[in-house]
Amino acid sequence: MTSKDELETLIARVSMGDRAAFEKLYGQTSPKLFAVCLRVLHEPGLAEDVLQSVYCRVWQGAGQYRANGFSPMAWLITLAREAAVDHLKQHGSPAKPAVTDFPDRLSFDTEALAMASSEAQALAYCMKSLPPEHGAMMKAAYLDGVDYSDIARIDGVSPETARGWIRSSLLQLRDCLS
Amino acid sequence: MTTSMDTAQTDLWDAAAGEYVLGLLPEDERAMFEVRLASDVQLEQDVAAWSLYFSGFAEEIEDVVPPPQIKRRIESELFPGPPKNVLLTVLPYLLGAVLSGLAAWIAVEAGLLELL
Repeated sequence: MTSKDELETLIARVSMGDRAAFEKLYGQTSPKLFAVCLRVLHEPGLAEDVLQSVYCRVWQGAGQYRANGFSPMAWLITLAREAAVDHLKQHGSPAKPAVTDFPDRLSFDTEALAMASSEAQALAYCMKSLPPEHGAMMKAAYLDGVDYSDIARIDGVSPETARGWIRSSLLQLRDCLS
Repeated sequence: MTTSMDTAQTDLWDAAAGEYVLGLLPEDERAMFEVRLASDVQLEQDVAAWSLYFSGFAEEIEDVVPPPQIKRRIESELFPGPPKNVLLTVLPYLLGAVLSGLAAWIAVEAGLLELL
C-alpha cells in the first residue's frame, strides 16, 4: 500500500504539471477509485466515464489539495464518491438495484478493516454505538445516494423523522470520534 | 463561557456538516451552507473531518483495476494533439541524414574522393 507521504508528494508534483507523477498516482490510486465508482453506479461503462472525469479534476485541481486538511486518499475517495453519486442522482444508473431496506446490523469486513486507516477503524468502532439502522442509512447515503425521502419511504416514517434520527446519530458519532 | 445557545448552534452546524458530506442536506440548505463554508475555516475543517471519517465506508470496498483504455482516454483528454516527442524521436535520424549528405557533398566538392 502506498504511504500517505508518497501520495502527498505525487499530488504536489501533479499540481506542478508533472505527467510522470500523474501516471504514477493513477497507477497507485485508480483501483480504489474505480471500485468506489463501480460500487456506487453498478455499471462498468458509467464507472469508467466518471473515473475519467475524476482524474481530469485531479490533474486540474491537485493544487487545492493541501489547503483543505484531508488525507490524500480521503481526498481522492471523496472526489470519486461525489462524482459518482452526482451522476447517479442526475442521470440514474440502469444497473443499480434500488435500496429497499437497511440492514439491522452494519457489518464491516474485519479483514479489510485490519488494513484500513485509523479513521476507518474509528468510524467502524463508533458506528457500533449508534442504533444499527442509522449507521446503515448513513452508509447508504454515502454509497447509494439515498436521501431523506428515500429513508422515509423505506422505513414508513416522515422525512422530518428520518432527518431527526440522522442528525442525532451524527452528533453522537461526532462525540465518539473526537 | 459557553452558553447552551452556543452549544445548540455548534450542534446545528456540526450536524449540517455531516449531512453535507453524506449528501443529505436539502437543496436550499445546501446552497446556504456552501456560502458559509466558503468563508468559515472552522466549518471547512468540520467538513474535512467528516469527509475523512466517512471515506472509511469506501476503504473496505475491494480494489478493482480499471481497463487500460481509461488511462489512454484520460491522457488524450488532458494532453490532446500528437505526442510532443514524435519530433524528438525522428530528429536524430533526420540530423544524421542531413550531416552524412553534407559530408558526402564536401568530400565530392573538395575532391577527396579522387585521392583514393
